[in-house]
Amino acid sequence: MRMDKNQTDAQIIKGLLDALVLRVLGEGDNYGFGIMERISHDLGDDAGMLREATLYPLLHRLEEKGLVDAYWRPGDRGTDRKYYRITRQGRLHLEQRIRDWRKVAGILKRVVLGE
Amino acid sequence: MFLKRLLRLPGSSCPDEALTGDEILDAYIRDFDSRLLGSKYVRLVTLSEIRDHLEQAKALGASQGLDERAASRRATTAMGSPEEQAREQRAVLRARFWRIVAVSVVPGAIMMGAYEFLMPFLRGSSLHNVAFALLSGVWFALSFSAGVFVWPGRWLGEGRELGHPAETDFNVTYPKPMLVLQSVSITLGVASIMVCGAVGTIGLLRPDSQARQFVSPWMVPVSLALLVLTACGLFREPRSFRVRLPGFEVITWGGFAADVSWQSVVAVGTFNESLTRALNWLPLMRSGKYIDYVSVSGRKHRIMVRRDMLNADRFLQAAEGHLQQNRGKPVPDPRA
Repeated sequence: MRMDKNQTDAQIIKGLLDALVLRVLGEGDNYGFGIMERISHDLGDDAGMLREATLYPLLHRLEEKGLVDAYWRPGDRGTDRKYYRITRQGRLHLEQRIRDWRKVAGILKRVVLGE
Repeated sequence: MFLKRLLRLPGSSCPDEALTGDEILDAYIRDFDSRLLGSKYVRLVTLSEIRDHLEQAKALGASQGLDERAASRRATTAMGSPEEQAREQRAVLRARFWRIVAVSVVPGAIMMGAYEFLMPFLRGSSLHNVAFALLSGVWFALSFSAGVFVWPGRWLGEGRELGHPAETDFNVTYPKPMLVLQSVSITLGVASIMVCGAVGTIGLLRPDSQARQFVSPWMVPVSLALLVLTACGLFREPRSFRVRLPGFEVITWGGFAADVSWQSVVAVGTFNESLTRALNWLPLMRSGKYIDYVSVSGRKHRIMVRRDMLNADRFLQAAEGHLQQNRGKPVPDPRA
């Protein structure tokens, strides 16, 4: 089965976004827009890889898997705002992801880049 | 299409609470809503989050010098196509729908298979009726659970009240249609147990009556045991909570109420902390929260607060807040 470049990129980015969102939530509870702002700030020039259209489905998927938990709290405009918080299972998943990425980065450095 | 129309009831039009008053944002929200599944209540949960995001994105655009219309347009463009967003919500609902089917139908089929298998061995013996009664009880429990899960409010998790209740005085309860569904299920269950008990009694008193053909006298103790269990459940299981100073009231399905002061709350937690991964498969188990408190008699009680109850989050936050405040202080003697 052949995978074109865009598909490969999408797979890599999808795996990375899970970890990015979980890492932001690992620092404290946050809501959709707040998570978006934080990740965009951290990614700098690569901010385009996370779009709003991707973020909410991703958050809902993480919620469905039990990696994050959600609750409502009044926002600054008087309307309710949905906050997310990482669960214990989510923390374990993030730790595993970080280990995986470190391993991949190590292989890339040693084998592909020859450093 | 039929399923979509069916699942959008009650309240097929876009809920007003989800709108912002901005023409461009509202057009986006209406378009998005038209592609969602679920009742008004279910859709509002999804729409509120998107509305909040759009409003903040618009405010950010305005703070960067864009005029109102340009800021709104940028916010909706960045959000992507409504269809892309809605596809995910539909996928979540579809997955939950099949999970409900699995929860109710698969064990039901296994149960009926077991009954059919046992029939030749039990025919003619009074155990046949006992097995039938037990399987009926299991079937009722499954139907009740499936009914609770099927109600669309369950499908997207946490319940929320429209608007803002007073911080110190509000009710934590199920949405009304769900309360009605649960009440009807309980009433039907109790009525069927009573009918079985009555027919069994007639069979016991008059062995030659027609009742004897349908239900064995064994049904009398079985029905009595089921009734006692149901009464205990109705007496203990909370139907709603009323939060008010200086604590909250636990109201059970049987209508009994118990006052609990905030000071007697000793723990707040999530069920999934102590459950296995296998049970986390059930949304109820995964997000179920508990509050432990010490009652007037000095006994420790655990109440389950389901996330699909209206204002459940607010209630849990209040309990956690009071627990933090009371940390380190001794639990007061409730009898004092």
